Amino acid sequence: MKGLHKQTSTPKKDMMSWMKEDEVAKGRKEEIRATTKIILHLIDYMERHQMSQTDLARELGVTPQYINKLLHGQDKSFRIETAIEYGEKLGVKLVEIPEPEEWYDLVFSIGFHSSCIVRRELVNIMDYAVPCFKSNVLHSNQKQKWTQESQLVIA
Amino acid sequence: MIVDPIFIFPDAQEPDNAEYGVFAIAFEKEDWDDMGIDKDALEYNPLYLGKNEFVVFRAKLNDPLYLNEFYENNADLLKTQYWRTVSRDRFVIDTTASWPDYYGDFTKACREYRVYDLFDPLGKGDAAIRAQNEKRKRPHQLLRLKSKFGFILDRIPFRLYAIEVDFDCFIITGGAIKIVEEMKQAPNTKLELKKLNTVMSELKSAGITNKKSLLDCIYERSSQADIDS
Repeated sequence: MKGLHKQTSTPKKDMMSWMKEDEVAKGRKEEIRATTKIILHLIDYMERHQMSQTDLARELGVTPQYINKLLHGQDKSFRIETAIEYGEKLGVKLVEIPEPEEWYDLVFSIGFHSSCIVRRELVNIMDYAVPCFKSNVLHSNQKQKWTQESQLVIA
Repeated sequence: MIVDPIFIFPDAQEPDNAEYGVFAIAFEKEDWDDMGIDKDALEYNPLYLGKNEFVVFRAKLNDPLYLNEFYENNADLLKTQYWRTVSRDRFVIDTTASWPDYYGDFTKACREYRVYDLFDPLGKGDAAIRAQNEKRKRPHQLLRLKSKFGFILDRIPFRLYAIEVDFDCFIITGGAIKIVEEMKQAPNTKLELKKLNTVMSELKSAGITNKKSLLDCIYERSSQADIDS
């Protein structure tokens, strides 16, 4: 039909359901970030193995329709335990939690090439980001040294 | 081209009596044909065809598969100094996380009858309108608008495009991830410009100048069509 006209049957039910979804989504932004990262892992896995969505569905024991829905970000009830289960089936890690040691490596590598002020900021961030940092005997001396150096510079 | 009610007040069940209305255009197959869109383009995808542009844009910003493809197709524009060669993961994840906040702002603005504040006139426009807009006193007329939101790195790349029909009536024509300065420089924003201009000329040719004439046009024309059928 040419020109402007109204929808013959407004999908009010659809509209109400995504409005509710978006209301909920406001409170779960970190979950959205994590789920997106997992889906990107799956997309990379498919590309690496030159797989179609149907192939992936077969490996995971689900329907191709479900895989399509998942990859398009439409499965709002996707859970971390499901991602772990899928990772085990595919033989890859879909959920990765950084080890505290990796944080230290990162801070050390940046710290050696940075000013004391940057190091002090990193120590502050570490105190918030990795609570066990404070009690880590191996690195406490380094932390103390950095803090002292930073205070000297500030003073 | 369908004009779909999105947020209607006071009664969502009676858009024809809207005191305050935000609508969105749903382009049909023949509209895309008229605009000369490639038959393989996403616009013809059954996932999006016939759905209104607000819903389509929302779906795209929440769709990792689409965003992954978008990043790959625009890699030459994103792997630049301006974008600090943003990684694919950062691009996609920041995009999906951007929608919930904007949706919150948008619905709040609708409820408070101040959608006007979310939008600015498109492009440089004329100096008088720009000056009035800065004081939030731009005239209510058929005006092409954009609303900026979200973050990727420290850029604000998401745009919702609309036409202001009246101070209490808006029509959303589409949305895009703006990755270049000028809309004409990238295919996705170039298409948005085309959509805005198509809807604008449709409104003008139907003699629509305010909310009342829009509601009369949509609902009376539809009633006549129902009688004919």
